[in-house]
Amino acid sequence: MRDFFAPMYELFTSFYGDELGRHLYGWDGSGYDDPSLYISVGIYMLISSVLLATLFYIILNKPNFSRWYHWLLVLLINFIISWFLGFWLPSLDYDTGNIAADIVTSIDTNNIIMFGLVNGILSIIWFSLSSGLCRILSRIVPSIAYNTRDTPFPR
Amino acid sequence: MAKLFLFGIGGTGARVIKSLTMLLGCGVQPINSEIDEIVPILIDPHGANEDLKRTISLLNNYQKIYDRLGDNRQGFFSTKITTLNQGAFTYKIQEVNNDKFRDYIDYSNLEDSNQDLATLLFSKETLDVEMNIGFVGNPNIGSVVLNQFRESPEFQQVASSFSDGDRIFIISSIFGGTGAAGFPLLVKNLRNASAKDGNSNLPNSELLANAPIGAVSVLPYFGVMPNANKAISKSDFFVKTKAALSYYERNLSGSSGALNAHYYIGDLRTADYKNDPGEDGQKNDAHFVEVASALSIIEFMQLSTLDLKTRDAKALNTLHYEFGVKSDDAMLTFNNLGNVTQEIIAKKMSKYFLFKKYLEEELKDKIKGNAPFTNAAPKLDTSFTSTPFYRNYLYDFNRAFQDWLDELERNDRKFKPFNQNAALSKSINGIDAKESFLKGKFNEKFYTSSLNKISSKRKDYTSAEHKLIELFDAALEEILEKKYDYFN
Repeated sequence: MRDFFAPMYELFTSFYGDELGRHLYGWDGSGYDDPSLYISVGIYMLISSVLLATLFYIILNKPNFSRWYHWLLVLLINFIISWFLGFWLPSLDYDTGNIAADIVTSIDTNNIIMFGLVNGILSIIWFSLSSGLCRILSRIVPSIAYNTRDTPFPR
Repeated sequence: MAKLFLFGIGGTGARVIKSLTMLLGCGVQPINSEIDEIVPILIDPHGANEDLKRTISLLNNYQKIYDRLGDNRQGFFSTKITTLNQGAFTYKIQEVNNDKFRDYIDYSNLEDSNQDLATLLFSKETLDVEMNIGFVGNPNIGSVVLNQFRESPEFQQVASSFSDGDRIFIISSIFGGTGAAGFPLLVKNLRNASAKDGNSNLPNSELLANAPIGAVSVLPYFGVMPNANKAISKSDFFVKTKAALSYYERNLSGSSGALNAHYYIGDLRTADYKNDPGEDGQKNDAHFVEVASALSIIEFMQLSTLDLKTRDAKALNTLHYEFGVKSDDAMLTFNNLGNVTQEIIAKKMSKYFLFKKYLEEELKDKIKGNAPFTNAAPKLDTSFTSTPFYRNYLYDFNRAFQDWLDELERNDRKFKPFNQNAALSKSINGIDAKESFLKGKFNEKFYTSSLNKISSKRKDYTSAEHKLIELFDAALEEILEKKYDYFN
C-alpha cells in the first residue's frame, strides 16, 4: 500500500518538505518502521473521491443537479474534505509529539498545510478519474447515471 | 392494408377533419383496424373559408411531419394521411368563382318555361347568391352545383385508387348549405358508380358502388347572432334539420341501403357565433361536437368488415350511432366523457399536451444545458431546432393545437381537458398526479429524468426527428402510468 500511495505524494515533496515526507513515509528515528500516514491519508482521500463521484453520478443522479458547475461544486467539496484530512492527520502527530526528534524541528504548520493542499490536488485527479469510470459504467449499464452521464463534458 | 377516403363537406366537414387531425397527431388510432391510411378530401366552394384554410394547413403540416418519421410506428403522428395522387386536399368545384347562382344556371338564357320553373324553385335572393362564399345555407343551390362531382377528376382519382377493403366516410352538417346538399349527392354518386348504372368509364366502379360507406351528420350545435341583413338565421337551422332528417330517413338510412353506418351528433346547448355567411372568411371556434364527430371516424375504421357488408350497391344493414356524455355540464373534462371515449382520447391527448408543453417551456434550456437526452445521438441540438421539421411543421402544428384547445375551452359547451397554465401535476383537468414523499411528484425534474432514462436505453432512432417524437411518446407513456392511477 505504501508503495502505491507514497510515490504519488512524493511527486510533490517540494511543496511540503522532505522531513514531513519522511515522517509521512513512516520514519521512527531509526528506520521506516512506523505506520505510514501516506496510506491512511491516501485511503481516506481515495474513498472520499470515489464516494462523492458515486453519490453525484449514481445515487443522486438528478436532472437538476447535472450541470458542469454542479460537478465542480462536488469536486470542490471533495477538495476541501481531502485538504482537511491531509492537514488534520499529520497535525495530530505534530500536536502529540509523535514525530521523530531528528526531523520534528524541520517541520512546521506551513508544511502540514501544504501537504493538505497536495492531498486536495490529488483528490481532484482521483475524483476526475472516478467520474470517468462512472460515465463509462453508465454506458455499460444504461439504467444508472442517466441524468448525469454527460457531466461535466457532453459527448 | 386499406385506406379510408374521408370526405369533409362544408365548414363543419373541415372543422371535424381538423379535430381528427389533432387526435391523430396525439396518436389516437383505431384499434384492430385494417385501415392505416386516411385520404381527406375537402369539399367547399368557399375557398377563402378560414376554417378550410386552417384545416388544409394543419393537414399539410401533419403530412410533412409524418413523412419525416416514416411508416409502421405507434404513438404521435402514426396514422398516414395522404392526398389523391399527391395532389391537394381539396376538391375544386368548377365555375363558381365570382358567379352568382343565377349565372351558374345561365338563368338569363333559359327558355321562359324553364325560367319560370327556376323562379318557382329558387327565390330572388337565392338566385343572387354569390357562390364563391359557399351556398350560404341554401342546400337547394348546393344540390345543383355539387352534382358536378361525378364528372370531376377528383372522383375519377378516388375511383382509380380505390381498392378492395377501402372504406368511405362522409362528414357534413345537416343544418347549413354545402354539407346538407353535398352529402346525399355524394352518396348517390358513389352508390351509382357501377358500370350497370351508366357510369361505365369509371375504374373500380363495382368496388366503389359496394364500398362500405359511413357518415356523420352533424345536427345544430351552434347558432348565429340575429341579423336581418344576413341570409343565415338560427331559426332556419332547425327547420332545415327537420327537412333533411326526413329526407335522409327515406333516402339514406335504413332500408334504402345507402349507408353502412350513420352517426348522428348535435348539441342543444349552443353558443351564437358571429353571423358570417362567408364574406369575412367564416372562422368558427372549434367545438367539442367536432371532436366527438372525429371520433365517429375512428369508430367507423374499427368496425368489423362483417358488419359493413354491401351487395348490389346496397348496404345489407345500416348501423346507427349517437354520441353521449356522462353529464350535461356546461364544461366538459375527460371525466365527463363515456368510459370508451376516455380510453380512446384521454391518455393520448394528455401525452401530446405534455409533449407540447415541454417543447415550449423546457427544451431550449435542456439543449443549452446539455441534458443527456439531447446529447445522445442523434442529437437534439440547436441545429435540429432550426430545421423546417421543428421550426415550421411541428411548431405550426403545435400552435394550431394550442389554438384548438383554446377554442374548445372558450366555446359553449366548453371542453377543457387541461389546466394549461397549472403545474405539471395539476395540468390534466380533474385528474391529479400522485405524490409521495419517497417517489416525489410529477414535475419538470421527473419529466426530464424520464426522458434521460428512456434515451439511455434506446439507441435505434433513425433521425433526430424520429427520436424527438418516439422518445417523448415513450417517456410520457411511462410518466402517465407511474404518476396517475387514472391511466392504469
